[in-house]
Amino acid sequence: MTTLIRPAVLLVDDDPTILSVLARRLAREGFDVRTAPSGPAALSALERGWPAILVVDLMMPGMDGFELSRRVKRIADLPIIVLSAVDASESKVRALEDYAEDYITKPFDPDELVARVQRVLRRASGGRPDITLDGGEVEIDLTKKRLVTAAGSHALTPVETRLLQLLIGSLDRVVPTETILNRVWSDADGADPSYVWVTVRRLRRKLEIDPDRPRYLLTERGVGYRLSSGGA
Amino acid sequence: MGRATGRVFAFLLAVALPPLIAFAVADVLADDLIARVGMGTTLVIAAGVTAVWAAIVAVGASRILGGETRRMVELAELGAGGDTDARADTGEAMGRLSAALDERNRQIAELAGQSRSAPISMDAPSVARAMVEAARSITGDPTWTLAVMGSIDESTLPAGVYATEGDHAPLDEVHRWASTLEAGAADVPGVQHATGPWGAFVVVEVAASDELRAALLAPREGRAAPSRSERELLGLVGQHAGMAIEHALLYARVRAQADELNRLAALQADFLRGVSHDLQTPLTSIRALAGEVQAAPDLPASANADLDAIAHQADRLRRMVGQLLAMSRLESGVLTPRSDVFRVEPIVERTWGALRATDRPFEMATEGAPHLAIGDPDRFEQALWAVLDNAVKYSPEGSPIGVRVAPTDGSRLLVAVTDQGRGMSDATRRQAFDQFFRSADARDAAPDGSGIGLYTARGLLRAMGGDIDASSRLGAGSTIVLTLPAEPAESVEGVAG
Repeated sequence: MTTLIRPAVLLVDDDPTILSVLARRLAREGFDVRTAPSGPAALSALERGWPAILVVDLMMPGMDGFELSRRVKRIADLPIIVLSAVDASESKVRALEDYAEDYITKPFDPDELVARVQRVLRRASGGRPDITLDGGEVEIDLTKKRLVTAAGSHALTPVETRLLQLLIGSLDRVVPTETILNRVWSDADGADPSYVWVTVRRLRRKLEIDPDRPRYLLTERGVGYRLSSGGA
Repeated sequence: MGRATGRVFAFLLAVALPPLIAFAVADVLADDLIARVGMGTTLVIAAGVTAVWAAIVAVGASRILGGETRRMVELAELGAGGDTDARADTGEAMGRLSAALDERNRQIAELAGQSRSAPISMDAPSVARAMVEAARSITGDPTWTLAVMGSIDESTLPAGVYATEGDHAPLDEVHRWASTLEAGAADVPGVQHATGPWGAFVVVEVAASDELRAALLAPREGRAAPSRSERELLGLVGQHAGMAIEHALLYARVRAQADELNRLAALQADFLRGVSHDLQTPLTSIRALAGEVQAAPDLPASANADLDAIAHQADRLRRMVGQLLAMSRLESGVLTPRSDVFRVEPIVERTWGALRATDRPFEMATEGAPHLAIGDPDRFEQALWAVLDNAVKYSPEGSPIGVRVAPTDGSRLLVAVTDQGRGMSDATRRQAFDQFFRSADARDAAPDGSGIGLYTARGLLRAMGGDIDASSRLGAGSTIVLTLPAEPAESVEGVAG
């Protein structure tokens, strides 16, 4: 991390070994790490000051990660990463996607956690959760991860959702390919510009009437991409 | 409903219900039946049932339609005859004929509509009730009931079947008595009059087996005896009733077994998932701790190597637990892989590195235009790890392992893993992707394998729209080909404007 202010991370896990080892790992990356062994302890830690990001274990006795995330999101839009022994295909985690920015399935490599924390913090926050383009021709709902056009409703993958969130944050302005790579993928993904090309091509099939003649998701050759609010 | 309508109803029932039941039973049970009694016996049963129905339907159709046609011909002859005295009768008869035909058409249309909209019930009580309804329709007599004896649990039959008990006799005892009657010397086989301690009954024998003895019966006191054609239809219903009820009971029994098996499988999957989850948290700690200690300065070289080994073994264990979990998720149908774009080459390199097979020459060749795979990179890595791990396990020390990455038809990417190991026989190759399958040869070479690697790999790849296949010759090594959906890694057009 090159920032002068060390971003604060609040780690919540009932397993003291995990808590201590992850705290040390994140501290080595330059984070200001705080820990809490339970949901209620995390809530009282939050009263003393807000971190930049919350890392929460899903399965904890008493108040679980799901309940904690729900309560936190009711108070403020704090980015949350969930550690979970169940994977994304299970319903609980799917429901959690409404509250959490990202999740990591146990057992994970600590480097993976570091990469995800960094990506979530890089991401532009405060983007609008839903938007319509071209006077309602296209509806994008980032919370539900859905996109609706005259041709039908499409589910968005997490990567597509992050890409649209980034483009919506800079609506009608060009976002350089390099920025897209940094914000949408984590360092651990090893993404290169072709990831952006193929993802844009696949997204256009959902978004555009004629993907070969896009009206909304436009290429600025040699620079990057922009989302057009009016339809080109 | 009148008698004529009753006949049509019974005929429709006779024609439509049994094949529907037979098909439903055959569809649901075919596999179980084949497993239980063998393919040959199943085919014989199927052929027998079909032949019996064909004969019954043909006889029933000719009788019913024959009778109706005779009556219409009589009426028509009457109308065409020049007998003046009969003219008034003729006009009336033609009117009756016309009205009767109209009414018949309307009823047939109504019944056809009902049979289309009615759900097909496969349980023994519904079938029994349908048979009783058929007897009631044929005779216009609502007192018909079904007596079931033998090893059938009568509590599974609904009250509705016995609802016409009336005040004739204790129904249980009537049933008991009726089902002990010897076949009498009746003019219509299976249908007879019998007088017991509670009065006279019409008793229709239901085609019986050792397990199932039953009779349709109706009290006769103060009622006209059924006509011959009614008795013939009742006889048909009796024959159908036995077969249909037996089918339904067999279906219920096999379904109960299937439910039990499903319950056990779910229990096993739950157990597997629970155990795997419990293993994951400590594994995460071990991996992370080894990494933390290694990050400490001034660590002796030997300690570093040991920590490396700890991390490596923890990683191996993590991957194996991951396989178990993936298997249980695939089986319970809850595994829904992500659909991301990713480059496979770095995953091939990383996975190969994780195996630490440093004594093996390894080469990766990429052919054709660059492509990105579409799927879940973690799941692909899981599948690939199983394949590479096998390649190392089942080929001699020091022998090379090669990976070829190539697009196929522009929409798929294949990753072929080739070893120069012992290879597989055709029989082994065909079973290589079966759950828990391990050839004798494989057990010989690596006694610690579990037989879930390739099985899980195939499930994972198929869940992502890909597949896996093997080609091999005994003694000449194997090539395992993994495929995934892919897209060309080309820049996209679509300039603003």
